[in-house]
Amino acid sequence: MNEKCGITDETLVDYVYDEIEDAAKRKEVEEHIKTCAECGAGVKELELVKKTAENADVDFSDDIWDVHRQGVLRKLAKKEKPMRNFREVFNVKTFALAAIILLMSGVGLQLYRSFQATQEQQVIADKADLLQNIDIIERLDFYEEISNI
Amino acid sequence: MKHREETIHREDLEIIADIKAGKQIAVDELIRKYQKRIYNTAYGLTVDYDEAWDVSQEALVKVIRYIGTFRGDSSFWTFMYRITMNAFYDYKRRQKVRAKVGNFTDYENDDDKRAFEITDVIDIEMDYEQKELKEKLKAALGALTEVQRQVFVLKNTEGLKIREVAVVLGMSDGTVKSHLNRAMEKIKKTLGGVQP
Repeated sequence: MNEKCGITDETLVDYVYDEIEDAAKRKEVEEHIKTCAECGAGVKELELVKKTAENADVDFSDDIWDVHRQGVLRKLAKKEKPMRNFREVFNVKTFALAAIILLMSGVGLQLYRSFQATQEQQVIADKADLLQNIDIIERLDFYEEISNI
Repeated sequence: MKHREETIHREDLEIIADIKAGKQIAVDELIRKYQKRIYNTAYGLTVDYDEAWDVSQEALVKVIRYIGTFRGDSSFWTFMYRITMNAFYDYKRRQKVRAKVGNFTDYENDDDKRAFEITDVIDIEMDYEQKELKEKLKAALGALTEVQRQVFVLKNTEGLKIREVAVVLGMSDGTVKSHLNRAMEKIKKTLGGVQP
């Protein structure tokens, strides 16, 4: 803000960008700039910024813009392709096949587990038989010893 | 003075309808019509020629892919500007991820390597002073905050009025003015040493 004349920087920016809607106010600022060296210099600096920025557009020749456009089209095609593949892969047939495989795997696993359980039961039964036989043999040995006495 | 009106043109409505109807030629037309404007908007956000190239391409891809969501509540340019801004933020996010985990996340750009340097193909028809001013402006833009840069670009490159900038960025007029003043002050200081 210019302390001598009370014109704010914001007012000068508004003036440069033609944002002062009140015609009387605009005229007042316009007249002031003609007589106030400090505000006049401020406006010139702001106009330089505005002019430089307005003319700062980057431009290429048509063939370079064509390369840019082709790149966009390529990216578009690339992004659409995975979507098509997704739909192709995850359709009803695939889900049905996956369900059958899952079901068969479940049944197979169950059969394997029951076979394992049967085998374990068999081993336990064999061990029990063996223990019983050992017991009988020991008792026979005992009676044999008594009869010898 | 540049001033691009914030309204939707009949021509745009036709292009949009054609793209929605699946006409490939309309996609081409839309890119040709807006690629330069979107590139320059992206440049204003990134202050980097290469990044602006990638961001603008990504923005155009998104504009076309999501054109079905455009209902005309805002102007078509506001719709495209917001998508460009999102593309810019996505790009920055990906850059951060890439910096942490390496280049393998950059799958989108693998087959889109340019056979030229952008700085070599820019149309430059200006004298030394203009070039110096542009370089200083570029440096000054880089020193602004993101919001200040967005406001400055919309005000100068797009030539929008304060109230239009406020609508595009979803801010109050006062907030836009405040950011614009700060941006102008910073840039004025940087350009100060160069005579017009």
